[in-house]
Amino acid sequence: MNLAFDVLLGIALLLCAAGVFYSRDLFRAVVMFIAFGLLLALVWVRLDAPDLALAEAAIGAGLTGVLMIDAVAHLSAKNAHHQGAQFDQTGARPQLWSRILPVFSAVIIFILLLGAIWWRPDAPVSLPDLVAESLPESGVEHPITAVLLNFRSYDTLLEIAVLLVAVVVAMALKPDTSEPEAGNSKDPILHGLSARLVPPMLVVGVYILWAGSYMPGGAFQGGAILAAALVFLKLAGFGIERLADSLLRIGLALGFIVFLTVATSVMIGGRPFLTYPESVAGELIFFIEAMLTFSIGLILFSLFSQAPPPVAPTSSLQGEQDER
Amino acid sequence: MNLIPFLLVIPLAWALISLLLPRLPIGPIALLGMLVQSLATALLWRSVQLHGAERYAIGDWMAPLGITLVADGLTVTLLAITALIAMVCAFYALFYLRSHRHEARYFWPLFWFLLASLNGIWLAGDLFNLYVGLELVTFAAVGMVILSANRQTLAAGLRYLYMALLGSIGYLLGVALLYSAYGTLDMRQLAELIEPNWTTHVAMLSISLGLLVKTAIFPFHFWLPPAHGGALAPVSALLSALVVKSSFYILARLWLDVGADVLPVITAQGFGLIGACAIFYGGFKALQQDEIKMLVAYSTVAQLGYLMLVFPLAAGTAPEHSMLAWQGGMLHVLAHALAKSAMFLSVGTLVLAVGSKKIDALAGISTRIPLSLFAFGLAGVSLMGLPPSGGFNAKWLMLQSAIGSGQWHWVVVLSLGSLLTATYIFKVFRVSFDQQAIDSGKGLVKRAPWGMELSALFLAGLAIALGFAAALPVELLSLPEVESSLMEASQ
Repeated sequence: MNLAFDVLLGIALLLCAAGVFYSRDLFRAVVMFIAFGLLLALVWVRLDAPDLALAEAAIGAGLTGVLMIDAVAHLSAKNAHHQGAQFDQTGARPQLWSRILPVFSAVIIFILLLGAIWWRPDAPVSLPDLVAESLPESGVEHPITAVLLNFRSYDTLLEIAVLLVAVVVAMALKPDTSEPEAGNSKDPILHGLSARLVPPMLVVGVYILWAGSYMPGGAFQGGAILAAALVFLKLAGFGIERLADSLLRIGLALGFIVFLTVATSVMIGGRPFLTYPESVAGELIFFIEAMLTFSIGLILFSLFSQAPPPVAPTSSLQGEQDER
Repeated sequence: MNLIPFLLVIPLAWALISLLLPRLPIGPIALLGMLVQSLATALLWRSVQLHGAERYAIGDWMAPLGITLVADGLTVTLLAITALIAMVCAFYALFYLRSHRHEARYFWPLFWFLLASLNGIWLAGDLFNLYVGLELVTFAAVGMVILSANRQTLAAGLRYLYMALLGSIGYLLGVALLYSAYGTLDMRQLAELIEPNWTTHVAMLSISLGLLVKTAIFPFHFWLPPAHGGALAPVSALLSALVVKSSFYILARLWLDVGADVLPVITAQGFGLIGACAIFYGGFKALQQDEIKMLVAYSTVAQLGYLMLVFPLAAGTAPEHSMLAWQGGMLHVLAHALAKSAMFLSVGTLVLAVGSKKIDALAGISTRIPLSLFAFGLAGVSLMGLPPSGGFNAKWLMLQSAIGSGQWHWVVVLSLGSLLTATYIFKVFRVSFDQQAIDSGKGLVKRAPWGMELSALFLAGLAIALGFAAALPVELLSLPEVESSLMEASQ
């Protein structure tokens, strides 16, 4: 039964991937991509990796999908005079080799990888056992959270910096003369829905953050849900991105500031960088995670809201906007 | 008190300051930060010189559970060159950004994030941590390329981003395979466990391809010239001098430090071959350019090719020849970093002064703005590998290694490459010393700020001085790490 499900899942995943690559309509490709992300989340569930599944569904399928749909809307507004959001504007069919080459290289990579996994030597070191051994000293009960925020917290610190840099780049690209956005007319249906949807979304986000200390969940997933709620509010016509600029910047950086401050201040007691005192490790980790959730939510939302508004919406854009 | 974490904390803290407090004079504050950073680097350098390599377990978790930072001779040398070049670029940017108000706002946060990520990469002793470092470098570097946000730089930046992400995927795939086969991400432990088998070879192939894309080695070089040629002058200098070296550094560490026993001779020769192609192709394309910044950018493509020659010279040869190649390669990293940053900075001044990017516009400027042209020439001397210069010493060591190990084909490549370099450098001089243009009073230029001319001259001078002081870094490179780790174990 499970095997049949896995095989079906694998085939559906491959079909979605092919759909993304071979669809000539950009919008359809994006929809396929979102479906691909959701199926991939299911694959992670089947592989007993619910943390990854949550992240994949929220970020890979959810927010990335929103960004892509937004990009398609921009493109089709620009190409409205030509022929919609098509890959090739000349209408010529792509060369045969440009279709065969990717398939050919994919097959080679697949064979190489298959061999690499088939003849894989048994790992002489078992990291999961080590994690389980040291878990009591980490301050949290969920091994993934222990790895992300204690054992390998340095990686996470730098990952947050990557997110922050991404949003800084987005801000840098925003033109200086940002005239107030042409009043995003309030959609009555979305507006009504938001009153019912946003509060439970926020509760779920906080719950996932809280759950992270003893079961799958944590700052990234919670932050993604927070961001989704914000995106929803913006689409419903609330002008939340018009927060004071300085306030927004502090909010974006808050998680990183708290993380870096905690990481550095423990050194005053003579401990190495990022070594939490064992008695308060759990509390510190939760505090950092809470701030991170807030900042990650804002950062992911900012990546969406910093995008310039579509240029001169024309009638052909209407279709996409309705679907959105 | 261990200094290693401060090399990361200082740039990150300064990044936050310049991001959140834009009303402060963040340029001068950045210069202050660079002084603090340089001081910390110098102290660490001294400490490693006296006591040997240091290892630092972050969070007090030992590898493989935690992440270890390593400061050995190579690391501190790279940290020092990074601090030095970044400081001069920051000083230059103070003057340069006066004419780029909009870009100045976000230049500084990205500058500091770039510095933090570079330091993180030099210090990393863990494969996955290197991946995170590479991501941070990529995003900061792409961000700096597209700061001026015009059509060309946006297109170049986007192409850079896509290629860099492709490289990241290749690297990550390989790391995942290595982890699944050996159960550890720590490079020192991996060096002891690694064996030549199918999984290792596929993993190393994937990692190498990913890193070659990121280092812009021929034939994956095409994203580099528009990105480096189109960026602001101080950004081009940082990118060409340091950023492309970061992924080469990982490649060299992985093959020659971790996987020296599993490197097949054919792979090493293959690396050398694409290096030779890069030298000739990059030099040839540089000769064809009519924009001065593109010429310098293609010169980077060519000079990166020399780095790839380290692999055939160092792998599978006698220890003394291998050592010569390793030292020559690393000296070339330093010499090229100094010379190329000097070149991009001086070219930035020239472009600003004549108001055009074309090489032809430089006609007759030799009498108008001699200092910047002199800096360009000194940097050129090092790039060509003429004595006395850092570039000469680097190529000399590599030549000795090639002759010693009887690999005459690389001797030919090294010599012809220098000739080609001379050709495109002299192309610029032929135009700028054009007597007719000087006599006719052409080439009237705006005055360049003294700080910009001086920065370029300083770096170019160092590139030459490295020819006299090459023993200093080379000695540090041959620091026996094995010995110091034994000492550490006995403590």
